[in-house]
Amino acid sequence: MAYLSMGESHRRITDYLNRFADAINYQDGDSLARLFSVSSDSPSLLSLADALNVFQDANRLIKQSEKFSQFGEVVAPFFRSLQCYRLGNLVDAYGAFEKASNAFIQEFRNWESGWALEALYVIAYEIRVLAERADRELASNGKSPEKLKGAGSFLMKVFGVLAGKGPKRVGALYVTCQLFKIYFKLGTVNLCRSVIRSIETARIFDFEEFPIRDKVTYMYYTGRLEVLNENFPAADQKLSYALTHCCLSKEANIRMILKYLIPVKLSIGILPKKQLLENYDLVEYNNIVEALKRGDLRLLRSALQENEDQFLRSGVYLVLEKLELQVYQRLLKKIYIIQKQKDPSKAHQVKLEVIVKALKWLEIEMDLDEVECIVAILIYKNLMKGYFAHKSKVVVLSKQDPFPKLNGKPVAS
Amino acid sequence: SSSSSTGTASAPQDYNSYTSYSNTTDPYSAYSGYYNGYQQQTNNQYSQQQPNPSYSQPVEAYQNTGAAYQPNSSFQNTGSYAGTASYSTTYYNPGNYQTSGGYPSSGYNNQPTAWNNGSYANYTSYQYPNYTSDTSSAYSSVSAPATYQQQYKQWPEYYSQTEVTCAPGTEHLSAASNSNHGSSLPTSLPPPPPLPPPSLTPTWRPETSSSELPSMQPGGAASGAHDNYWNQPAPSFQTHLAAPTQPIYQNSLDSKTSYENFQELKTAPQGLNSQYPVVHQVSQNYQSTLPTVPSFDARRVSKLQIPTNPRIASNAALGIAKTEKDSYAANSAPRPAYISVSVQKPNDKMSPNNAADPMLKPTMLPKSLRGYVERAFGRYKDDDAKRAACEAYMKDIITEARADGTLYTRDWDSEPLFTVPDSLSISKANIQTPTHASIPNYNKSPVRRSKSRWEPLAEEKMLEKPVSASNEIGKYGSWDRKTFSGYSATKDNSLSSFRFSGPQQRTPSKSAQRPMKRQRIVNGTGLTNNDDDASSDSDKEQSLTAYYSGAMALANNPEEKKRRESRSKRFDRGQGHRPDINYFKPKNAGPANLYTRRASALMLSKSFDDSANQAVEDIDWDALTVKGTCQEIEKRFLRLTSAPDPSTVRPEDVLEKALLMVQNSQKNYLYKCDQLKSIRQDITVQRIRNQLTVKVYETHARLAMEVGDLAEYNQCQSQLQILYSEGIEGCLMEFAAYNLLCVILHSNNKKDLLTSMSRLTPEAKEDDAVKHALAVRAAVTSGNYVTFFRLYKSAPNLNTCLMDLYVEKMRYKAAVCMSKSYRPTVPISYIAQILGFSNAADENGETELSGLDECLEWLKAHGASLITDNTGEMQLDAKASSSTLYMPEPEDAVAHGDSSLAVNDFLARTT
Repeated sequence: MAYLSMGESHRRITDYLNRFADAINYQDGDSLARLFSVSSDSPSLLSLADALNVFQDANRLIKQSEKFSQFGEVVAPFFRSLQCYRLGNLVDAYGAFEKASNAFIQEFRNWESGWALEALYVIAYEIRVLAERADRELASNGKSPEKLKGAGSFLMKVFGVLAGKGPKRVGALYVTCQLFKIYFKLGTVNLCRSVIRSIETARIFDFEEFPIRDKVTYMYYTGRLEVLNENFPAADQKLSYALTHCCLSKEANIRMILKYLIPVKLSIGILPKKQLLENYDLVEYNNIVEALKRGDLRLLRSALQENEDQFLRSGVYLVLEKLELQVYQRLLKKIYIIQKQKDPSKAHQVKLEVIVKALKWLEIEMDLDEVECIVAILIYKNLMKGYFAHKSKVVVLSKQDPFPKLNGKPVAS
Repeated sequence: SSSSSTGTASAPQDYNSYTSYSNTTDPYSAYSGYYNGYQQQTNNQYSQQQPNPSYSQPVEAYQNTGAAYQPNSSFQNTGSYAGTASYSTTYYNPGNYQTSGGYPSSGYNNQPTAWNNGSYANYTSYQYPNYTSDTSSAYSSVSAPATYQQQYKQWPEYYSQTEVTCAPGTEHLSAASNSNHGSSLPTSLPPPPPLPPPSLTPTWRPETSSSELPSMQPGGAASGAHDNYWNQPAPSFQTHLAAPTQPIYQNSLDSKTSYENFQELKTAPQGLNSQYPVVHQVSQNYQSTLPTVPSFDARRVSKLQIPTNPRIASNAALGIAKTEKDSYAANSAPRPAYISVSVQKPNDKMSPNNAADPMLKPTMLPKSLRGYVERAFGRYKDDDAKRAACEAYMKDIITEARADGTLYTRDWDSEPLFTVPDSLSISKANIQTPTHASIPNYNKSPVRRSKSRWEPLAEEKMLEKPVSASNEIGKYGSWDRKTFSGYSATKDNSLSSFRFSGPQQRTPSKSAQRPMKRQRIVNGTGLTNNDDDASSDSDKEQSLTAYYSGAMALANNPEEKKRRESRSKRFDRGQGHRPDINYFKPKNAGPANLYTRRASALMLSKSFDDSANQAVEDIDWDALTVKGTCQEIEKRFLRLTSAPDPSTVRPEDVLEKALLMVQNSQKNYLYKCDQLKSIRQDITVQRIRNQLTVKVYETHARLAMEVGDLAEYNQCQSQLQILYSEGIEGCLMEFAAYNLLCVILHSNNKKDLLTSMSRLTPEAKEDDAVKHALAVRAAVTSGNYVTFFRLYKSAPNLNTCLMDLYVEKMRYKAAVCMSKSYRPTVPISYIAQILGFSNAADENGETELSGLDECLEWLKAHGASLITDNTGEMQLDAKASSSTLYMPEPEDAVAHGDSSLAVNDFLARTT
């Protein structure tokens, strides 16, 4: 850091204070938002942080003039936060920032209009980001990371401020999304439920009123929740909404949505084009899709094992695993087609031995009982029409549409 | 105990502050602001009082407190004032005080100057004048003696009852007599009270009315005040003491004097005597300061009082013992926890000095010990004789503890209580008779009785409030006010109520009351007596009467009344400061109440260290951890409702044996579970976290699994996960597998399953048990019943047990699936084989057959329709069954999931 004179420091600090006061006086939400974005590492804030570290007594400056002192409760802790942030002390930076935010929320509560929503968004975002970094710092020091949790409860408070009637309510969804991010990160997704309930049941919220970016984010997260619940139609609907409304230029976001939408679509029998997977770098699904197409159980299993960690982390492993039945179905259908080519009259009778042999070709060792069980399950789940004759160990397929397509409906449970 | 804890909590702080203060003489200036307020009040009050004969009143009030008597005597003894020099040294510059050597008599003036030097000037001057005046006036006034006597009656009785066995107590009295003034008092004690109680009573009322507000006297208000007074003996006690806030100073002086006396005499007997009184005073003072003066700076109080106390303590070990008795044993109950606290602190500080008197230093007692003493006496609240015996016993114990240095280290919370034989109860009767004389006073008791102890005090306070408001804030601040508030049991409340607006009043009062209730329960003696006396225990009544008569004597005395009136007028001056003071009080009391005894113990331990304001994280939990001494291998589980008692807690080596015993036991699960739970409890209270802990939990988890006790299993499993994560070795894989199975089969939470799976390390995935669990998971999610039952048969460890709990569901699903997909029939034998009805090792036909029968039964129970085909083999009619299958209500369902844990068996065991 280049040497910074006291005068220069003083100038920078007063400059910031002036801008802060102006932003509030002119109700300039965008400017105010910029003044809060600690983690943006914007040059102006960084230089301010340096100035603060040189000029230690910034509080005096704040108190000096009536113009600034009224913001003292917000600005003073914010300065401290900025200083700590600059010095890499993220835990303290978070603490001070939360204090500043708290003071700001108090002010915000009193403002009739929602002009400062942009600033609030920045604060909600910063709170989360700082908390995440502070937790990383805590964890690396062997302490228990708890800041993100604290950020969660703080944002809940913010949500309470916004979730009323009036112009501020449009900001509620943004905070909700930040909360989702926190909860998903913490693995406490069950906490999402209360927020969702107030969004989806409260009359004051007309969902279409919210900013589109928030809607997309919201749909993405609620869609993920549905994936966890294995409620595929709902997940499909939400994730599709997110996909269709997501800005096309945000490829990373589209990829995130597809990451969940593809398994969902697969579960309801809709396969993606290979091009799509490649465009969005979702090649981990390639083999799975291929296995579904070919009825290649081995391929499916190897694909699952290969990416097990990734799928487990993203939470789609169990969904993909369930595709196994569809692969069996495909395999049986292939056998049926081959038999039909050979002898159409007997095609609808598939001997169990044939299936076992086919699986053996796939290097999957299964005995008769196991295969019989699989067949029974296929029939039971309506992936196959027909019945199984135990005595003769033969699958008797229906003559009409023996392998019904899912067509957007999930496999019966 | 809660109340006591509060006391402690507040006290330690005070003390600490005090210490720091003392260290740096100059620091006073910093506090001066604080003090000024306080000083003014006290000073004003005092000075005002002093000039007037009213001074005697404070003394009386003091006396009423019970312990006060002796203080008075000691006070009178003032001849010993010379000692002041020492006192001064402790607090302020010794030099100054010494110069003032004349203190006892006219020396006061000199002293004040000394004080001034120290920035205390105002305060000292006031006090001293007061003090002098007090001494002179009080002593000179006839009324004072009378009150003393009465008080003596009561208290002596109290003490004598309790202490009869204890020579020290009597000795004290005698010693007191030896002292100049004291002589009159002691004498008065043994003999019946000179003043008839009845007379006192009447006076009492007038007093209250006069002292308080006019409004109070008439009608309900007055009664309310009285009620309070009656209902809450302990508080009233405190109040009396508190009222004497001024007395506090006096006390300090007294104590000094006594101290000096002691020093001079150095002989044990006198020292004891004088000490005794002194101690009382001190304790009282302290109490008063805490409760009444809440607003006060604890620091100031502590400064003044504490220094004196320490010395006293050091000199008069007996005195300390006395206090102990008083506060705990004797009665007990009346004594507010505050007292005890105050005593303790002084002790703590004094400890070095105490060395001289190894025997009895009640003041020195740690908080936990106090609780212990309380408990001990609480058991005998109904039996004075026993209490006396108990007291004697207690002394022995404490002395012993002090001797072997375990006084502070021993965990009194868990120390077993001793039992006192019945034979000891004789002595009391004599003393009690005198008490009866005072009974007339008691007549009033009905009034208070009418109020249930559960009744909120808020009403009374409300009454008081308006009054106080009208009078001016000053009222509260004033001495009289305090006494009244004291009646209401919670001075704090009254003060706080004043401070806060209506709605809040209640809460403080409640909080204040709560401790009281607790005390009743714990101590039993004092409070219970008061409340219950109406109910009729004659013994209790007597003691109560005695107590009350004393109080009434004070209150009723016409002279007092006048004095109070005049005093209260004067006090109006000091009002300004009062509010602030009041403000603090609730703080002290409220939070403190919330603390558990343990917490208070913590505070105490801290105060011992003299380290102020430690953060909670810094608490040395190790020092507070129970170390078991029990050698019994077998122990039944009983959920702790109080701090663990080391004598019933087994140390680690015994626990190991106990674990072995359980593992090898042939008894049923309920027995083992009970034993294991008690082992776990012992482990927990001793904070043992090592392989033994893991072993115990693993053992219990396995046992629980074997019988399908999922609830218990889950407890163990969650503990085990924590233990494993701390790096303690154990059967990690085995339990990882169990955990997986549990999540899959019983919680069906996808998120949990995903996290559990993603946490598995690559090595874990290679483990057989984990692999098996994962395979089971796959089978369950795909509904593959064939795989499931194969895995069931090949399960390692106790995986089978967990799977057992899922078997029924799996079979049912399989049956439904089969009935839908099979046509026309399925042979039962096949079903039995697939669904695990026949044993895996079914080499001989018998088992197979039994498996088949079992399967038949099961299918029938689930509504399957069965037919016999032409070969005579039983078949499942799939089509018919597909619509008739159902899940029957389990007949033998029990909460634990196993019929072997039937309630009857459980009840049989627990009775």
